[in-house]
Amino acid sequence: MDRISELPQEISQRILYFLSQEDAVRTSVLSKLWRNIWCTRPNLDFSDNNFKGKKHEFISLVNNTLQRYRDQKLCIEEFGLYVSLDDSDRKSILLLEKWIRTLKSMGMHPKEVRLQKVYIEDENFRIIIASCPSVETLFVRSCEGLRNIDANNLVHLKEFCFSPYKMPSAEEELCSIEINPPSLKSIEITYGNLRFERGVDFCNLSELHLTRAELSWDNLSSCKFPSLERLIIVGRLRSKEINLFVDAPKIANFAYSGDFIPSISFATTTSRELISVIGLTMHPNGAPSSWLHKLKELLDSLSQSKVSLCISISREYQMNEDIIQENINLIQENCCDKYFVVERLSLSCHLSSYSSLLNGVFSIFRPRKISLFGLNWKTVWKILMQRESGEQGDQCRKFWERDLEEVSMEIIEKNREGWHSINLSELLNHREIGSSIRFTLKWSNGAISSLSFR
Amino acid sequence: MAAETGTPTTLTLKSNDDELFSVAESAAILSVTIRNMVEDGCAGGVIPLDNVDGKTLASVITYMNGISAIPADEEKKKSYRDKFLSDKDFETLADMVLAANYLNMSCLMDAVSAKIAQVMEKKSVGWVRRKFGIENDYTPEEEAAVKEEHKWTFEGVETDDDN
Repeated sequence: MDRISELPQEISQRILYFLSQEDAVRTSVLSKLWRNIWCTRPNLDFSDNNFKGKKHEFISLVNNTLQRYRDQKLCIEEFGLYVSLDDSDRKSILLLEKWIRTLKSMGMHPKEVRLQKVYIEDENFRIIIASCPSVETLFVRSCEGLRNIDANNLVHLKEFCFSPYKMPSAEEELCSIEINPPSLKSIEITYGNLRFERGVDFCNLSELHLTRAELSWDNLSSCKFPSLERLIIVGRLRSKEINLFVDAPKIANFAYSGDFIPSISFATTTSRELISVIGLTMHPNGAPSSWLHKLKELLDSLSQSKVSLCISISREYQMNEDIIQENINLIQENCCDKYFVVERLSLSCHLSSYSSLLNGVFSIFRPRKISLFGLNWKTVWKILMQRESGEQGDQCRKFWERDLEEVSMEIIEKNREGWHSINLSELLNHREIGSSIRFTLKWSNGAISSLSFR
Repeated sequence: MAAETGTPTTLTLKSNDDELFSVAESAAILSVTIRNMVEDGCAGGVIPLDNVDGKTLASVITYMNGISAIPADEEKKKSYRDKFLSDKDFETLADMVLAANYLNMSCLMDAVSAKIAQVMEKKSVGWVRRKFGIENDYTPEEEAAVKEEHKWTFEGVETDDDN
């Protein structure tokens, strides 16, 4: 006989353990000896991605195989199941419950439960969760039918992720989510309503990702995050206001994006350098008249951080010079002669607004780099270099133009890696569409406050 | 167990073709079979390993020494195992997996089994038969029946003339 068929069954089963379910089952065709070896391998691994038959055939394959393992009292070391169940498979979710109970009766305790694009109602979900008390990873992605997730009893839960099937309408209530904070290492919630007590210690949490979530920012401000390294918040139009204080001494990355300016500050960090990325989108009806003032406050509270800032003003919103002037006046009242340094600034707005936007932002901070979306570099170049062309500066320019020492340009081209410098005449002759352009600005040293990290 | 003298204890292993090998006890006890013998006090003289030939035992000892020299770092251990097995042909792998099973060394057993499984991944039945020299003892009717029973497993397999 050949070598591989001669191997004792415990070894051939170990070999099959490392194969996918279909590769393992297919060995039954090799020869009579191989006919049933796969039947008792110590793991099951089903994925409807690899299954070309009909959904109900897949479901009954899983059901029958599991039944057989239970009836023959075979050992299962690992069980993996990937199946998508939509609205038309409502009955199958009952089978899912049954399978989890079967596995439990065989001494298996699921460590990971990932539900994706599943129609599941609260009651069924509750039963599934109750059968998996030792679950460590719980993903509920693009699922329909859930109104309430109570994961308080999952004391081993490390990773939790939730997103609904579709974007909820403005009036729709978000799925309410209760979690057990101490064990969690990572939380990612999109369009969910997160509930937790005041003053909780999220002692293991290293990543918190809230996308258009609802929660009490006040409660969150009272919590402790001794392990938090990454905080990502995407603002939600409905709440319109975020007042948050984050007690996270190990924070290393912070990102915010939204259509309003939040008020966020951090407790003093201990060691590492904090990198912040702020993205703001301004709509005509969304931006308050004092947004520059609010932005200054936000930057002030991020003074221990390196900041990249992206401001995008909707095209319909043609900023009024008066509003900007009002903002600048507000800021000049508590005038300082040192300006905050922003590492990178990206700008996008209507061509006619660049001049007032630049005057506005330069009145509160000084960017080292400015990148531009689209073909607007010429406009910005003209604004920055007006004095060289001998034109009269306007009222607002005087605040910044005396400090601007040098402007140079860089480009990214298709066939070359990284940024490299380019001069004006080269750039004017440059025909390549879709290149990114950025300006590097050199400000007089006296005018910028440099960051100091402990 | 190791005497408290500070010098590492050395064990002598004997293959079924009477070759003798010296190996540090700390490396040899990766084998649960050997560890049990040491703990039972049977390791004083020569440890006979009746199911392993000299060529295979030499290879297993190389592995024992290599892997036990790596501190507790799963990544590095894995890359050592991958490198160790990379140039072995199937005959050698079959000998090794049998030895690992007999010596009760789960990490080597898993690594070799995974390596053999890798060869069979997504391959047609005909290809696997030829690769391993497996004789098809089904009648055409029997084979068709088994295929029909598991026909869902025949999608996405690398094409083959006699698949």
